[in-house]
Amino acid sequence: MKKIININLAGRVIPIEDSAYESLQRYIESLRRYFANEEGRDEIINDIESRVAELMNDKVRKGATAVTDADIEEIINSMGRVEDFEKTDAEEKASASAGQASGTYTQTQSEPKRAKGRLYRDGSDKFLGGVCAGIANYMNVDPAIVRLLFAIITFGGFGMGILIYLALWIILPVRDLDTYVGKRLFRNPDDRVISGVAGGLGAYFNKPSWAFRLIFAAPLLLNILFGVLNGIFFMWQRDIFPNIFIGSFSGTFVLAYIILWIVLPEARSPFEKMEMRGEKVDVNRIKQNVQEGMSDFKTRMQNWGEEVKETAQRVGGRAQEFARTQGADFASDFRQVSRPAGHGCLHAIGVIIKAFFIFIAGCITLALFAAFMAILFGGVAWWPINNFLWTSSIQKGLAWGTLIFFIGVPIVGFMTWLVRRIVRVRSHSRYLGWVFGGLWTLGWICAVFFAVSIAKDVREYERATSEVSLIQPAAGKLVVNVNEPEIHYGGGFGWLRHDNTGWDITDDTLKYNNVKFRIGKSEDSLYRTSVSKYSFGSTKRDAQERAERIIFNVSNKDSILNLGSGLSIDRNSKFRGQGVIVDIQVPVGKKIRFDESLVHAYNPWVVRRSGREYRRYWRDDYRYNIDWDYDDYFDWDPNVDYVMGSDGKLIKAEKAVTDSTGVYEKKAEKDRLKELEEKERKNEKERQDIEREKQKLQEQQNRTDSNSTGFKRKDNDTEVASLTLFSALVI
Amino acid sequence: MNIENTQSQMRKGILEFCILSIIRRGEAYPSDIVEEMKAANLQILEGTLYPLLTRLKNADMLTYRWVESNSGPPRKYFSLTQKGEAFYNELEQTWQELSNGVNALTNKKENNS
Repeated sequence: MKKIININLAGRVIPIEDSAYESLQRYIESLRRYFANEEGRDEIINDIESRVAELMNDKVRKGATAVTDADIEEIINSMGRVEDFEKTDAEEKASASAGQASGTYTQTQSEPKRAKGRLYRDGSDKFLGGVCAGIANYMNVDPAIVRLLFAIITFGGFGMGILIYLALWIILPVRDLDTYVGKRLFRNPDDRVISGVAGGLGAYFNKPSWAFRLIFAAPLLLNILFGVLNGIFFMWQRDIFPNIFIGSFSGTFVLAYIILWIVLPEARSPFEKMEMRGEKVDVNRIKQNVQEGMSDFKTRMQNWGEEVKETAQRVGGRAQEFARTQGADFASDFRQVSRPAGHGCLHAIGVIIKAFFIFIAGCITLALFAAFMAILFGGVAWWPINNFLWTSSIQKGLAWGTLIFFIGVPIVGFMTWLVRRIVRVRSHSRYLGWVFGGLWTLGWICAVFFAVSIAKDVREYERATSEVSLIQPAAGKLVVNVNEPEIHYGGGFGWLRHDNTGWDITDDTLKYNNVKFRIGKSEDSLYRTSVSKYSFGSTKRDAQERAERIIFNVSNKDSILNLGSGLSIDRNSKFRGQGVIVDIQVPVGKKIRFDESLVHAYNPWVVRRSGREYRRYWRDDYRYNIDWDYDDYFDWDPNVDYVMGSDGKLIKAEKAVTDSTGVYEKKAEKDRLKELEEKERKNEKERQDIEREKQKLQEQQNRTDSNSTGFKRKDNDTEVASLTLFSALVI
Repeated sequence: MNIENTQSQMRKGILEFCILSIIRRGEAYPSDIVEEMKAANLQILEGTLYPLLTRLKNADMLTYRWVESNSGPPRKYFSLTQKGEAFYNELEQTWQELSNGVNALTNKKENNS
């Protein structure tokens, strides 16, 4: 029983027997190899193909149901086999120079070996050192898969892959191995939901394709599910769903899918489909491989013909040398990687730099991509933040456009390029570049409009100032504190860590502690306080309204000025750089004291006290410095009394306060005095030591002045310098 | 030194000349060329003809045009260019000299023996 398939050859649809098709395929491939060095190769092949198609068509027209083995045999005989050409060309080939004769053609005859039982590096098919191809050969799988796995290990395992790779590179001996034949990874157009990637994987691994589909889809679905659940249960949700993990996880899988989609060719012809399933082709192809050497080279010949040729020449020339001296293997291999011969060391560095460049670039892109995906697919969790960011739906759309097209497209593009480099696939169509370019252009447009839109929103700046009526403190000392509980992030969104303080966000309120202080001299003997709320806006009116809508609590009781722990913004006013400035005017000679609770409540402070809590200074004031350049940031110590000087500056009240009740500790003063005296004594002793040593050195120098010590030292210096330079270079 | 090699070398030399002479008579389709050569008892494989034609075409000796066929896609018909014409004339001259010389030599040899 024979299977009959329809093929489209040179524009004709021809029914052909399965086995006949295979021999035809083999024939065309052998021609392709034969004419690999011919200038008009493609044209020759096309001409021959169309002639073959014509001949087959004749057979069919004469009444055959399909082209049979015998027909093909006949056609091939009339066209002539490669061996016949070789006979005709024999003399010419022999007279040609050795360099001419080699190349792909010689490769065919150099009998590449299928290394049984031993792991080699593949000298004939390599990206860096041929390690992956060697492993693939050993395990008899598609080298592209091993390369991809290595890339994943490298990116995922923080460079582990690189170390393993280098180790294998050094350890393994090189050898010209057979190119992989057999099952190959394709996309399966007959079994697809989106693009057939999962179908192709299923066919390749002989597992049901829904399993792969699930692997790709599950993290994404889980992510969306968790996002929804987090939205519902955010009240008591604490670390239940590790969303950031799932987020980047799903991102990785989506990325993997997209890249496989782009990289893998679609199994279009029946032959490729058989190749994909590894049906029967295996045996035939291996048989053919023994005859013809590098069988599966069709596509690679076309795209990498030149490179392969070079490599083959180099490898061929050194093959015997390698066999004899394995020790020199590594070094000479490094040389071999390089383009022109010589300068082994330099090129070794070049190769390592290349490897690291690819590694680092890959890491960066992967990180970017993971972040990008987390943002994109954590979308459900993002909604509340959206509530506070965009003043119009157009702006929101532009923001998404910028994210996806301006940031996302280049990342995906670069990843694709990188993976293509790794698996050595070249673009099937140039449309891909156009699509990426087009999308990115769209991204640029979005980004520009987005920037304009945001810039418009922050064009104007307005303040709303209100006086706080103060009860004048009886003891001549105003204490500023915060009674409200510190703002603490309620954990509404799974993708953020929960221990953030200083801001909080819920569906309709955004709270944060952008509160600054301005302490000045009061003109009279009264303490005065005013609160300025400020904001940006597209118009003065807009900014003013937004500023007025800020909620910030201030109250005053006895000598205590009680401030709110932060400002609240409602959902409708959006975040446009709102902030609060607390103005306190202290009469000259009167005291003020900042409670420690301020330090905890407000963020952008530097608290300069050793041994105590340090707070990160969150520098976001570049935008607010309109009101900010009066004063530096708050740098007064908490729990210390300050006195207003006549120059408008606060001076520390002379005595330190150790407890909150304000009782002066005399002992502390004494201790301090003692400490200072001690220090003075110590310094004196040190000074004397220095003096003595200096004298000694001077005497020594006088004695050896006329010697060449100076020069010697100089020499040493240059040597050290060059050493440093060298080691810097090596590193 | 084997006979086949020498034979093929001899054939190879005149191959281009023969092909050009066929095409010179009028536009030709490659398989027709093969037929005509076979009829004249000159063996050629189609597989070797195509590369030869492409090479000649790339060297501007030949040009081709697509001719619609009633069965299937259009076919390539080759014709000579001016350069090809000149090339052919030179080859022809060489051939005349060669055949005259060879004939004279071989006949002489027969006479002598």
